[in-house]
This record gives sequence, C-alpha cells and structure tokens, in this order.
Amino acid sequence: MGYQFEWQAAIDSIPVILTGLSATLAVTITVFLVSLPFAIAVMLARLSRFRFLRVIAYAYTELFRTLPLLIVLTWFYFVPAIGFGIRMSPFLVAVVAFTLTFTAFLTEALRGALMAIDPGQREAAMSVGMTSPQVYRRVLIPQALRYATPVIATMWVSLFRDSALVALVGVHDMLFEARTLAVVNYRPIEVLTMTGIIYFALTYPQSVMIERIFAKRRVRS
Amino acid sequence: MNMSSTTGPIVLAEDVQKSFGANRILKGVDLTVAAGEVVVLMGPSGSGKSTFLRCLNRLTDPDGGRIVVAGSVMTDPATNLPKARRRIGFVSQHFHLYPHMTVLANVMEGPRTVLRVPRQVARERGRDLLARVGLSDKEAAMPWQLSGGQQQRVAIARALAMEPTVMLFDEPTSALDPELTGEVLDTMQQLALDGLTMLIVSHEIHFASRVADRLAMFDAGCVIEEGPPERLLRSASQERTGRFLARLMSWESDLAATSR
Ligand SMILES: Nc1ncnc2c1ncn2[C@@H]1O[C@H](COP(=O)(O)OP(=O)(O)OP(=O)(O)O)[C@@H](O)[C@H]1O
Ligand SMILES: [Mg+2]
Repeated sequence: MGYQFEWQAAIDSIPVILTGLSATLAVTITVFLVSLPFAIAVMLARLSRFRFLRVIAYAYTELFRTLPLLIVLTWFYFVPAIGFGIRMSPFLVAVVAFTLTFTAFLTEALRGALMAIDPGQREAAMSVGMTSPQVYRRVLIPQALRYATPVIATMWVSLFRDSALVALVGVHDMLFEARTLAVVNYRPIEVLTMTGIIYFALTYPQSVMIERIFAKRRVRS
Repeated sequence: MNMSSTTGPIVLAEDVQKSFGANRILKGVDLTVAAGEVVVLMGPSGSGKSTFLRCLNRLTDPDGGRIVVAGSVMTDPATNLPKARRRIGFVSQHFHLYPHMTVLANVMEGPRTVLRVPRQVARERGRDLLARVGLSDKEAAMPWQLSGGQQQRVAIARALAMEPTVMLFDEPTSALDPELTGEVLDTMQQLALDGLTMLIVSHEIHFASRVADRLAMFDAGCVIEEGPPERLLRSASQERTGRFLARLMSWESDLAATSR
C-alpha cells in the first residue's frame, strides 16, 4: 500500500527497453520466414502417399502444438549444452524452439486452408495434364497461402508478442533489457508497466492494420 | 486442331463399369466418337453421365471395361495418365478457373507448366484463343470479375490451349443463367464447325439438334439408344427416350415462355 509510482522512472526506461527492439524483431522475423517453407513441407508430408512420412509429420505437429513453448525453449537451452556439450547461442536456441512450435501451428493453418479449396481446382489442373507435384505447386499451394493469409497474419502478431519469452534464455530483447534495468534502478513496477505499454503500442496497430486489410479482401471473394 | 493420324475412333468405350459402394452407376457403357464427330450425350439426372465422362479422362477410376481416348489406353495401368490427359480437353459445369490468376494466365498455365512452351509463345496462343471465344478485352481480368458465361468461355479457351485431340464437356451451360447459355453454346458450335472432335453432355435439345452428328441417350448406367438427332428427336423410338425428351422439351418451352 502507498506505493509511489514514479512516472519519471517509467519514462526514462523507454529508450533502454527499446534497445531490445532489434532483437525482438530479429527473432520474430527469422522464425516467421524459416517456418513458412517448413510448414509447407510438413503439410505436404502429411498429405504424402508414403505412410511413414504422414506418421512422422502428424506426430510432429501434434507434439509441438501441445507442448508448452516454455518447456521447448528451456529444453533447448539446457539439454544440448548439458547433455551433449553443444554450445548454442541464445538467439539460436530461441529461433530453434520457436520455429519448431510455430511451424506446427502454421502447418495446421495451411492444411485447413488447403482442405477448403474446391476439389474442382485440383481436377481442373489434372485435366490439362499436370502431375501431382505441378498441381500442388501451381494451383493448390498458392491458393492455400491466400486463404490462410488472415490466419497467418494473426499468428504473426501472437508470435511478436510471445517472442518476449526469449528473454528467459538470454536473448537481449525488450523484456530482457527491461529486467536488466529493473535490477539496477529498483523500479521493476515502473519498468514492467512501461514494457507492457510498449508491447501494446507496437502490437495493437499491427492487429488493426491486419483487420482492415482482410476485411476489405473478404468482401471481394 | 491436331487430328490424330490413326483412322480409328478418338473415343472408344467398351463395357465400362463403375459402382460407388453397392450403388451400380455404370452398367456396361459402350460408346465411340470418330475423328471430327460431335456426339451429344443426354439422359436423366443421376443416370451416370458425369461419372462416365470422368472415367474417360480417369478423374474417376472405372471398375471394368476398356477405354481408349486419343490413342491412349486409359484403362491400362501402365498408361501415363497426366501425359494422356494433355490430349483430352475437359470442361466442367462449374468452370473451376484458377482464382489466383488472371484470365490470360489461366489459359497460359497448361502450355507453360505442362508443355513448357516459352512464355512469349504461350501468351500469343492464349490471346488468340481468348479472341476466338470473344474475350480479348478480358485478358487482364480476374475470374471473379467475369460473368458465368464469360468464365465458361475462358475455361473452354484454357482447355483448347493444350491443343487437345478431343474435348469433353460436362453440362457446360447448366450452371448458367438462361440468358448466358447462348454465348457458350455459340462458342461450342463454332468449335464443331472448325472440325473439333467433341463429346458433350447437355440437356440443350436445340443446340444438340443443330450441332450433334449423333445423339446418345443415357439411362440408368447404359446407352439405351443412339443415332442422328433428327431421327431420335422425331421418332424417339425407345419409349424411355421419348418420355425423357418430351419432358425436356416441355421444360425448355416453359423456360422460353417465362423469359419472354
Ligand atoms: N464420388 C461419388 N461417390 C458416391 N456416389 C457418387 C459419386 N459420384 C457420383 N455418385 C452417384 O452416382 C450417380 C450418378 O451420378 P452422375 O453425376 O454421374 O449423374 P449424372 O447423369 O451426371 O447426373 P446429372 O444430370 O444430375 O449431372 C448419382 O446417384 C450420384 O449420387
Ligand atoms: Mg452430371
């Protein structure tokens, strides 16, 4: 009770927190770009005519959609180092753990979109003599990506927000910088509050923009 | 059109059988289409016409019988189906244009991806074909910007771009508003005049009597009667054919009356 919230400390923390923005963006963008082709590959594996590939892909997506990200992250932080003596940079640990999880969710989004495509599309493409890989490459995957775009855009926003977890494994993102500052200025409440405000200020406009773009598109098709 | 050099029929179907579960749909269909011939297939809804057409290019696998189309034995497991389908144009009721491509790109897609035709050549051929179906001004449009009749004409151009030996049409106008069927039927009539071999499932009697060299009546999984349209439409020698045609004709005149 009677805690004196110091606005000045909160405001002073802004530039320090923002030094972590580049790392936050680096993690988010890297994970997103690496996950997209992986997700397409895993989706194709799930639809493969080889049972072996289907089972592996199914097991992978189900496993990583259920495991808490925090567990995956800390597992990759400790196990390779302690178990196998493999040194991974914090950035690499973060990207590997996030990519594994994000790819699993992305795969499901893409698969859902693929299932929503009219079977007539595939038949039209087969009727001009396309082979199965050609049908996927030229007709089905481009359409699945389009249908899934609103979902994928929303997933990007969650990824940006959830990337704060990487502070735990030592990536110098915004949350990491915030915690480091709080330890020295003894103002954790001000610093954390300001960090929250910054995340909101960066995330909310993205959400609104996505909402706008896709509301327009929906009307058209 | 690249006419096959062989003199045999372009489409040969012998005793084609197909069941879905316990449901026998095709009960031994026999049909031939000679080079340059236009055959119209008619029959009641659910009698298996679409299923038969789809067996011909193997979108559906028949259970038995023999099918040869454009020189490929479609029922031979050793046949390279994608390769065989290049010579079999297929146009369905619902057009199924690629929604993520422009009209011209839809027409170029087969030649580009399947035949590896150079872009410039494919584009020129695509433009010629769009001119042929009367849609030169729409090449940059997206499919959703076109009417149903225009979409169907693009679908026809897309199939023609492969320079098929034969074209299969499955009720190409039945999903269209009545006032749009004319433009599609005119396009098809022009193809017939150009000598293209065609097998057309259609309920458009007037079109059939104008364009078909031969009419084949389909009922309950069999071809029950075939012959020149004048004879079939006049005498309707089989009772079932007669009844079906009578129903169709009265339905058509109802439509004509209401649209007037
Ligand atoms: N993939 C499928 N699985 C199960 N049953 C099917 C399938 N495709 C068609 N059928 C059934 O086969 C029968 C014949 O269908 P088909 O579409 O060939 O008839 P049609 O003569 O083309 O009729 P329409 O004039 O209405 O187009 C129908 O009873 C239909 O329900
Ligand atoms: Mg049908």
